[in-house]
Amino acid sequence: MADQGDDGGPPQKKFDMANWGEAYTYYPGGDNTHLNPVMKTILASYYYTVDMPVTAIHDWIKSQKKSSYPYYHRKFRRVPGIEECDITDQVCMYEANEQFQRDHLIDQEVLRLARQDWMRCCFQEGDSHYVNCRDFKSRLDSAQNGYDLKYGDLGVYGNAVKAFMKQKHRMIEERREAEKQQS
Amino acid sequence: MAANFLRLLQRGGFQFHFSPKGGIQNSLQLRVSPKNCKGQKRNITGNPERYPGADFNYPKPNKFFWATPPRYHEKLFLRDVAKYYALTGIPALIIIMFINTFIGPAELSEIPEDYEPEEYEYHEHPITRFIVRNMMTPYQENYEKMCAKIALETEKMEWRQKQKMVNYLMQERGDGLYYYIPMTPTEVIDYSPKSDPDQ
Repeated sequence: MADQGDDGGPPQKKFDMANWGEAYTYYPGGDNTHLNPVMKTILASYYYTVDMPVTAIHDWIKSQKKSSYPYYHRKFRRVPGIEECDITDQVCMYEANEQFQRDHLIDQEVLRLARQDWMRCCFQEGDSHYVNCRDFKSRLDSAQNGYDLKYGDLGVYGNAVKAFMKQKHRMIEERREAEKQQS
Repeated sequence: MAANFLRLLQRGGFQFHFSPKGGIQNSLQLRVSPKNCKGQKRNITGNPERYPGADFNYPKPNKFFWATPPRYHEKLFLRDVAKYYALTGIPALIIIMFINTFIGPAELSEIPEDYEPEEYEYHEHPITRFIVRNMMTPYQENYEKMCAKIALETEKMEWRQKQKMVNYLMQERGDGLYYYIPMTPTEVIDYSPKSDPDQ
């Protein structure tokens, strides 16, 4: 009793700041002793009508014996690029173009993964992402910069020859700027 | 089914037209019954003080039962559409469910040494594998056919260029209009079957 000093002790779960996250866990079918009866009935009604049948069907489907057979990842050999092709050799240019398109897809995926990593870091850090996600951001920036330099404004009909010419013009411009700075 | 569809077209069904001024009776060319007005029970064009955004204001008949065209043929049409969608969709979904539960997709694994996988072994889903195995040409075959076609066409291109150059030079130099026709020399031809008429 209260007059004998029994105040029930410190709060067990409901307003315990250490277990704040746990107090807000409403696991249907799990431990709900820290909740009130209204919430218990709601969770129990959901659990027994929806959750249990659905998980039973899901587990039955998963437990079905499936014949295990493999599938493989296709490996492409590297062919000589567009820079090693004779101007009249159309077959070499075709193969180089196919390789260019495959590398384009790979670079798109690499950029997507870098961006996803940065976004995940931002979401986890919150308002402190300016400080804690610098590495991810720098990695994304360098990847995006390289991608823009190589595939930047080629457009839908971009092919290996156009990318090669773009590289050529970029190198010429860099050389001219270097000469200007020297003089 | 087609007759009902024609009746629907004649009636001018499925008139979904949105008017920014508002009001279902403003939106449709035909009248609708009040039960289909979804909360708008009055013809707003008849009350300009309350609804000033109406197109124009004309005297409103204070009616409750409006003469509306029937929605029956729209229902029949939709039933026909659902019937034909379900006739192929439900068996297809059941078959696909059974394939996904009992056969299942493949597992990604490393290519073993000294083994070249078939074209269908590069795909995951069993239906995709079936289609690739039975109905499609391999990727490498298409690639090489394209390379062969390109090589043939480049060769033809080169020979056409040479022919044009030859014609131009023959025209320019005028040193003879003859072409080289390959012929076997007479020393190696065997005339013995022709030399004896009574063979």
